[in-house]
Amino acid sequence: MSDNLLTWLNNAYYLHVVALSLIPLFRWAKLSSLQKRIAHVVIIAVLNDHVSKVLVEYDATSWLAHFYLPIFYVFVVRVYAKVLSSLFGKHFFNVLQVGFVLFSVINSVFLQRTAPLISNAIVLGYVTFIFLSLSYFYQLIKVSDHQVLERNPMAWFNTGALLYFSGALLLFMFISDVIATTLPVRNYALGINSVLNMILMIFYAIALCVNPKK
Amino acid sequence: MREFEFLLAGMLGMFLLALGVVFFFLAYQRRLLKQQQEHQRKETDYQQQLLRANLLSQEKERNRIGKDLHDEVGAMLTTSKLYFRHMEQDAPKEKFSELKAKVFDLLEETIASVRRVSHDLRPVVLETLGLEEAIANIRDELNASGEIKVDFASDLSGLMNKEYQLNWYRIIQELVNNTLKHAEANCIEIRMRGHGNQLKLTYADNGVGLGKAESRNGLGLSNIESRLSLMHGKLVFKESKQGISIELASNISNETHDHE
Repeated sequence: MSDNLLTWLNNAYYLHVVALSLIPLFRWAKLSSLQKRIAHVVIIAVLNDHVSKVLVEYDATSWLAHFYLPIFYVFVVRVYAKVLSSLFGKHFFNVLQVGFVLFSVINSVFLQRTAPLISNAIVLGYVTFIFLSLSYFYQLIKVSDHQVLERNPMAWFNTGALLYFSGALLLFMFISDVIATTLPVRNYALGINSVLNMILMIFYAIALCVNPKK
Repeated sequence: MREFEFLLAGMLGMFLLALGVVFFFLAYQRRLLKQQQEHQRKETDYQQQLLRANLLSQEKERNRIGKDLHDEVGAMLTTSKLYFRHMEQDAPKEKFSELKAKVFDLLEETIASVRRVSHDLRPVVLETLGLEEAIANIRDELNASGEIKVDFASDLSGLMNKEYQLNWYRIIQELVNNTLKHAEANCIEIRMRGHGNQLKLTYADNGVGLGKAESRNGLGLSNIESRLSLMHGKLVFKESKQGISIELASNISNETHDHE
């Protein structure tokens, strides 16, 4: 992938981030309690992107993921806890959150302290999200009272999460090898991640914009 | 580079797999939603049918009471009025006594008619002695007529509230009326069993049975289903060599198990 194309993709991606940043700002009062939890996830994600954009100028982004990932994980699991507590029980999600934060700390301090990216924690997080996403689809089929999904913000959030985390999982499993390869290969990987992220952002935005049926 | 191509193919594969899962789920969920909506529509139609049957039944009952009052009570009171008009104080004693006796008889019949209409509206035996005695009363009246033999046995324990007792009484009245009007039967068997909060009633006759589909969906049956639905009950037709056999069940009261 050429540098021009990658730059174009990154700019397009950043536009998505900026647009997505504005949605919670303008729609906060109209959001339901579930949408507010989704908005928290969105805010964490866009803050991370904004800070990354600043830090990339100083070549100091490597430490950001060590803090961002556990926080992002906790907030995403918080969203699923609201909709899946009947399936798994409330304590299950507390265990997930505490367990992941502990693992993330151990991984950052001992296992991948000097690695360019904390791939162990990322892969574990993504696998968890894929599992929770599939569980939510399973629950939607299992319920006795089916609803139209177009106005269900969780359905949109969940679809975006499944598509992104499934698509990006293999990339982050081999990210260390990808980073160590040639520039064109790295550019392809980053470009694909940008495209997948943009898809995720679109689904986040729809989840925050729909008016759920009361 | 080759490894990266495999990685790329793997990523695309995972993405397409996830996309497939999403599309499959959407298609399946839409199918379930459609089935649910169809079920709800049928449920609404059924409830409307029960309501319609209920209203028709009420109108029919009102018409019957109105007809009874007009044809019997009204006619007898009008005749009594005519006799009173002919009564003159200076009329011969015999004529006066004859007219008085006729008016007296008419008033007796009028009182009996009013009592009968009132009893139909408000069954006194049920209110004073309870459901079992009220059904026993129906049995005794029919057995006394000689046209049909009714066998009734009951093993009811537990307290049934008045609303449920009235519902069950009307259900049995409806079943008996159906048998008398349509079944050409000479024997009815009624068995009532109560266990905990559940009541089971078995009704059978040796008539011609409910052969026609229209009979099964008739007004009387709709009324029975309507009353049973109020008591969260159900009705099941049993196989029978001759006549009909129906099993009905419901709660004894509308209190929840927690309150017990």
